[in-house]
Amino acid sequence: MAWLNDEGQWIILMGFIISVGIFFLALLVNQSILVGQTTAEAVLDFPKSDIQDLRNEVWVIYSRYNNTPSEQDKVIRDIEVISLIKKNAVVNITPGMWRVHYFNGITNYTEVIYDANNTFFYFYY
Amino acid sequence: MSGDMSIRNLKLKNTSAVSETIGYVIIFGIMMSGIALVTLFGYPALLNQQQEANIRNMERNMIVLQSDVNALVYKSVPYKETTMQVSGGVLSVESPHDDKSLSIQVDGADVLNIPATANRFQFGSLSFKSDQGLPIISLFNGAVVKRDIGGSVMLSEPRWFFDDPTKTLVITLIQIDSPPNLVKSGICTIQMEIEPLAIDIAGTNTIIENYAPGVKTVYINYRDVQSDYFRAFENYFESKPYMEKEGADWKINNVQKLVIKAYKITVLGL
Amino acid sequence: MVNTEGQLYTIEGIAASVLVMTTIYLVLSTTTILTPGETHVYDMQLEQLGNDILAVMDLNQTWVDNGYGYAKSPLQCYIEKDDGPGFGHRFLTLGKQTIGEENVAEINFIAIVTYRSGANINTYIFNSTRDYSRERAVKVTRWVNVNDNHSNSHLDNRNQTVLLEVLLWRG
Repeated sequence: MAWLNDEGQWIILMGFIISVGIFFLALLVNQSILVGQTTAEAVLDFPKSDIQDLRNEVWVIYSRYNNTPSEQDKVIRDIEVISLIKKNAVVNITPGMWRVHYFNGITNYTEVIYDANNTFFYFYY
Repeated sequence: MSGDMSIRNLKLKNTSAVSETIGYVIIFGIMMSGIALVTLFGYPALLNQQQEANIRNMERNMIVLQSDVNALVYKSVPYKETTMQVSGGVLSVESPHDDKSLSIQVDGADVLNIPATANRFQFGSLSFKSDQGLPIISLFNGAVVKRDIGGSVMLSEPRWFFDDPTKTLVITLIQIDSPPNLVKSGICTIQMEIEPLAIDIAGTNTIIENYAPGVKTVYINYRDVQSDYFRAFENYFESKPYMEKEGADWKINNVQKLVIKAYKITVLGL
Repeated sequence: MVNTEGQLYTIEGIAASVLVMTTIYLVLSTTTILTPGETHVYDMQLEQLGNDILAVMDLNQTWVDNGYGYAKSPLQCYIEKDDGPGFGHRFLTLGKQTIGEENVAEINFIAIVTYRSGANINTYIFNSTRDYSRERAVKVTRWVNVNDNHSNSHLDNRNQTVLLEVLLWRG
């Protein structure tokens, strides 16, 4: 390197490293806005409390009206009809085996809460 | 150190046939061409990137708005508002029009009863139009759709569904309208209010048809004259296992219970 | 005399800083945009709070067992007696307990009861703190089973399940 001044090479190297660093950080920032649905929206979309409440209510109906099928049918109809109109969710409850079916277009949930014919012991929650 | 310096000094002495002028011209030339390259290619690329970022941002904004619409429609909250920045284009409300409409038929008769519009449900949309004209991103019937050169895609689906165990088809129709024609860019506060939209003879917004124990076939006809979101909806219908295409219609077999609900979302301000 | 040495360094420094600032501005303006990314966190928290309050009110309590063979929850008692103000008071008390300090974050609500009567679905306003006027609200719901021996004039005289909906907002 003939008469070039080779002092300050460290400064140039640092400048180079920092500029590459800034470039990658910019790439990261750029990627970060790619997120579609935020966590809060996903939580709001998932009908957690609807399903918990429904299970709870079916258990209440089972424990109160297990021996009176005519009462069961009326109360189950209450839930099915109100749910469709107010919550836009299809609910289907089968007494006897106490199967709960819930579907609102996104979340599909089916569970046998208490099967009288099955000796398996179910716990409440 | 002193030895090192003396060697360099010795070397520096030997500078015959080195022209500082030519050296300067070369360095200057490299610099100028560097600046020219950045101005020619770098800056437009940056602007392009900016526009893309704007569009991506708007896609996301629309999904945020869809969340608000879901709260209005499915959780029956009366009013929602969200503030967001719209850049690289304008946000506007497209009034409902027959060009984008839908009819539902069972046994050859219209299920919807909207005399003013020949029993067709008209959608209307909240749209973002990019400065370049395309793409257009819309909140349309509860879905987020994007129209670009050559077609359209659905970014987020509407909440129509068919429940297999109970054979129930649930269709939610969402109309978007605004009192004056709204257009805005920059910081927008989207204020939305919901009200039920009469679609049956009794003037209510809910139709529940129970065909049990039999089943019927439901025909859906979706019309999109400008073909703006046609491809997006075709693909959406096609992706659903319960939908089948017949001519210009889409049909759903084995429906025991048909539930249709209609709402009108009024955008009060942007 | 002013020392004029190092002028070139100063100019170089200024030029470099302008260059860096311009680059940072360009990069930031291209990539970061004001987005309402987390606006729904607020809704999520309020919804969770509302659901928790209703869940607590729906817990069966032994002190209200009055010969039905099962214990009733406070929620069931309020609806059976059509005691809207009692419900409202309990709801707000629980809400404030959760928030911590009293009168810091005021909660307002409108509670609606939806019930079935034959083929009709009817609703009536159970209780409310004040009118709703375009607030940022969320909706929470709870199924409540009501005994046929109730004194609520709105409901049919039968065992039934009604839906309690609470529209909830702060401010």
